[in-house]
Amino acid sequence: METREINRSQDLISRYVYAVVRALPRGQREDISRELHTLIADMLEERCGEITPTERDVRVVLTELGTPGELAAQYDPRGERCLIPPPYYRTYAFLLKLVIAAAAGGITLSQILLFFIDSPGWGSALLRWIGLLATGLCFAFTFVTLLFAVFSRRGVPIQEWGASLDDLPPVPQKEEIPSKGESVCGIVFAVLFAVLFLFFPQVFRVLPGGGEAAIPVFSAAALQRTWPLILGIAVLTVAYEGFSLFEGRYTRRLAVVNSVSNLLVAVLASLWLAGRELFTPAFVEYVRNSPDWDLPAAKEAVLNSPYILLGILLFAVVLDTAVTWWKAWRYDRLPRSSRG
Amino acid sequence: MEAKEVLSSLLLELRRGTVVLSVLSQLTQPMYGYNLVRVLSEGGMPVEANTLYPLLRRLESQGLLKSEWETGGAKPRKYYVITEAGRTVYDALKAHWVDTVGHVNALLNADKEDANDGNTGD
Repeated sequence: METREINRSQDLISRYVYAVVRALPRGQREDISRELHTLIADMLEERCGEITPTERDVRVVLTELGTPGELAAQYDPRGERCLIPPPYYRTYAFLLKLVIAAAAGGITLSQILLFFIDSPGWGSALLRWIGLLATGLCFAFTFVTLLFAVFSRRGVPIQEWGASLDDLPPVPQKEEIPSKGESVCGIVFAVLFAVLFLFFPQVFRVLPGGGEAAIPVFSAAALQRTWPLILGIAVLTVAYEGFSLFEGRYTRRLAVVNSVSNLLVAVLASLWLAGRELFTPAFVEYVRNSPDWDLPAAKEAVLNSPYILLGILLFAVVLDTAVTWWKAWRYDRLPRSSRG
Repeated sequence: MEAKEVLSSLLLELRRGTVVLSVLSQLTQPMYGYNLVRVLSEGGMPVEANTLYPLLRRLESQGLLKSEWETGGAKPRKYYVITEAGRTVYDALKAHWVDTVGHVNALLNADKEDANDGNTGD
């Protein structure tokens, strides 16, 4: 028996087991994976006895176990009846919890801040908090659910569950998996950004001291006019990071989605940051005249911060697009037939 | 053809509960999945591995079984054994099964006797 064939058989088994457990709850994956590896070894032993199994034997045994989708459904039959079936369901549930937690956290935090700044009555503060929470969470739930309903109903094939054993993609190594932490940070940041700028721009304010009233930093009128841009940036970020979590590896199609989302974010951010006077005239006046700020350069930097921010953002977007393409080109080893 | 399909779906329904009963009956001793596949098959109740393995996990999550990894041998194996709660459920299920078999057999035999009566009447 050639070592090459043994390796090929082992690789096929690993791909198969990975495809099954990928659709199952995270906490059970390792355990089921170990159990399936032993089961397959037992079945091969029963079939071949002392003789080393050929690749053909492996294929027969795996076919006997059913497609990865069928076997995963046996382990978790609830999913079959969902609007969003596995393997989408895992990512969906995770993303939903994350977005809802971030939205609820952002809303609650800014409400607490506003409570101390404006000191309204308990009753009205509580009512406003509940109202905002209901609106924000409804939007978050609807958006994430629609996003995944679209993923699962059209156009986004499940790469792990190829129709034949030859279509199973290889098990990704650690460096081939996009960082989950980065995705989580991106999503939380995007949601907080949207919550703060859409609902509570008044949180950003400076206290001039000397008993004078607080000066709002951002112009409420400018933010109100640009709400679709703010929402668009957040929605695009959450959608891309959600897709990245779902994909679970660097692929060409991930790079394409990344490019499109980055391009749109760059356009929206440019329109938002460069096109309008975001700061209130009172804040601009305050920065210009403040005696505490000796350095003219620092004043200029603060007043030009939207442009500086835009510059950094555009640089980051270009870098991220390039890195994603490089990794996709290097790591995308999916079989041709299963490419979406 | 259609009758055949109806029959196979009815047989599937009939089997579903008996598989659980058979599994519980064998796990008074710790056993790993594939060994149980063999034992059940030899006992005339063949169950596919792709049905049995998920079923074992389900019974474990319901508290009827518990499991432990045995890593000393050539392959790491997960052994399942019935729990106290599983024992209680099994005893109740078994009593119910014996009861049901008695009643159903009586009904089936009554049916046969009716037929025989009809024949002697001729």
